[in-house]
Amino acid sequence: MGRLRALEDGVLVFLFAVLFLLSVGQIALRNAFVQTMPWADPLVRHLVMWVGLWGALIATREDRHLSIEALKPFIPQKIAGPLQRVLHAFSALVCGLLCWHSIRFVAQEKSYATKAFQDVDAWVLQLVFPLVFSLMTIRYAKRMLKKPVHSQPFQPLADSP
Amino acid sequence: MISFVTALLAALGLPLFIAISALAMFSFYVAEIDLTVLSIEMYRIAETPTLTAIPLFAFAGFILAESKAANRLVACSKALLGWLPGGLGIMALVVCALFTSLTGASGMTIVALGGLLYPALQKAHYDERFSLGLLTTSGSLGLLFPPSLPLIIYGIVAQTPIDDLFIAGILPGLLLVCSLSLYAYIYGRRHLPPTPPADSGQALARLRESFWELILPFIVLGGIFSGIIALSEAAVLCATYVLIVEMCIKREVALGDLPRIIRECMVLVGGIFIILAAAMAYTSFLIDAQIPNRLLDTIAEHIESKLLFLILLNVFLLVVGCTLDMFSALILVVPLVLPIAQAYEVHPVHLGIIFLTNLEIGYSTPPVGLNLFIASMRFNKPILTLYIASLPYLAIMLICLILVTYLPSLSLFFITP
Repeated sequence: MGRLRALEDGVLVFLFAVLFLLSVGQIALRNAFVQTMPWADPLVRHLVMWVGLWGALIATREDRHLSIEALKPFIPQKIAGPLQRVLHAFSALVCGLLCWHSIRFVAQEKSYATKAFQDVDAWVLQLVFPLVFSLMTIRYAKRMLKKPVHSQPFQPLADSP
Repeated sequence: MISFVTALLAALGLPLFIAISALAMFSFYVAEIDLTVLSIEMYRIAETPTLTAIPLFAFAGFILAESKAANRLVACSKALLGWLPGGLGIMALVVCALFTSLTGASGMTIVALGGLLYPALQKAHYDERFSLGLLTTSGSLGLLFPPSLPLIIYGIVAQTPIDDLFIAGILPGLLLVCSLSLYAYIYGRRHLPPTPPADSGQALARLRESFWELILPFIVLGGIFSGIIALSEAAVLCATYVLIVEMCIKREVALGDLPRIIRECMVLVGGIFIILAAAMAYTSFLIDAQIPNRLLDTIAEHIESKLLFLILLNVFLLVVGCTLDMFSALILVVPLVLPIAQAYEVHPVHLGIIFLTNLEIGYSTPPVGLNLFIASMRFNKPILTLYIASLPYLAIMLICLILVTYLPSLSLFFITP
């Protein structure tokens, strides 16, 4: 499991590094040599999508997704655990569906041979959807089956020492 | 029925992007549209050039937060404003505003600056309530100043020129900072011992220390407003500049720290992007189904004047601001409200400023404003103490909100129609 984490983190850092260096390079070329790499801009946009979705995958792993939790303080301790399981099950279901339909989407794009830019096939760049959503599905499903750990994000009502 | 269950689950802590995706999927399913449409809509992320600016500005902000830039800024403005009654309070406001505009509304201001400013205020005999209220409400102050991420996100969602938004935010942002500063000044005159006289040598030395960070806004904004560089290029420039300053000149961030910083930062960006992706799908359904138009018809039946509409909008947005985080609120609510506001002849840029001012205040509004929780955690104080402490600040900010809302020229003064 530790290896998978390191790999995921590594991919994220790598993607961002390429995104950053490519953007810097593009600006330098444009201003210094009045020249551009025509494939760089669309590639950067796709990298932004990859970085964003990959970051979301790690947010899933660390349970750091934005949520409302307006009713959370009112949930009785007793049902908090089972409720967590229901939420994870629901999340797994939704991610599973997103994954399935993104696989269909990628397959369609492949059969149409859509190009993202120049000679690059769009479906290759779109693989990030099934990849990220399938990993998310597995994460949520695993969490649903695991014994719920009692998480305490913060205790705002705690008295000061 | 399904939407009710989803909303309930979301209120119980379901990740927001799951809730929105579920709603989108269900709506498309009912409308008998092939669900690959979700991926098609999400893929639009790769077709929005301005989005590139978000990870890069966020990266610059995280690097700044990691370095000692905050300490230097505090020392600098202390030397500059220390002689003024309430000067320390004013400098806290200014520094928070500057810092938030660079780091976005991620609660980082309270976490990073709170630990620095709270003891400083205490040492200068500011009472607890005043200091806590000030730091809590300052947590989102500065969102109206460029290059704040929420402004960029509003621009993307509302398809409004982002450089216009940057200019439009300046006067309302200054209004907020100045009004709160005035309060700090009055407090300082009434309750605090006389301040030491100004020390120009000291001020100059501190100014020199912060020089590299202080000129950053001018480089970035100068570039954008002079038309030399586009927004996404400004973001690249900003990130590169910050990286060079903090790694090579100040040497406070090591190369080995970068992977961790990138990871932390991109997890936040990912959290925003996945909601944006899901919301792109959902709002495209809403617009196809003409929901905003129907909403408008209903509203138009009951509300005739623009004034009444704006009042209701303010109330609505304050509630949104204290229940949703800034980014989700913008992504979800803007597409619904924008067409309605346009029907009431509210300028989209002005609407953006109204939105952000409201959300900024909503962030510190009891009972569930996010700043209150972050501050309660950071300063280890009961949340009730923070409710009371933030009240005078909220009152001042509400007055500013009224001015911002009903005087459109405050936002639109520099915008050529």
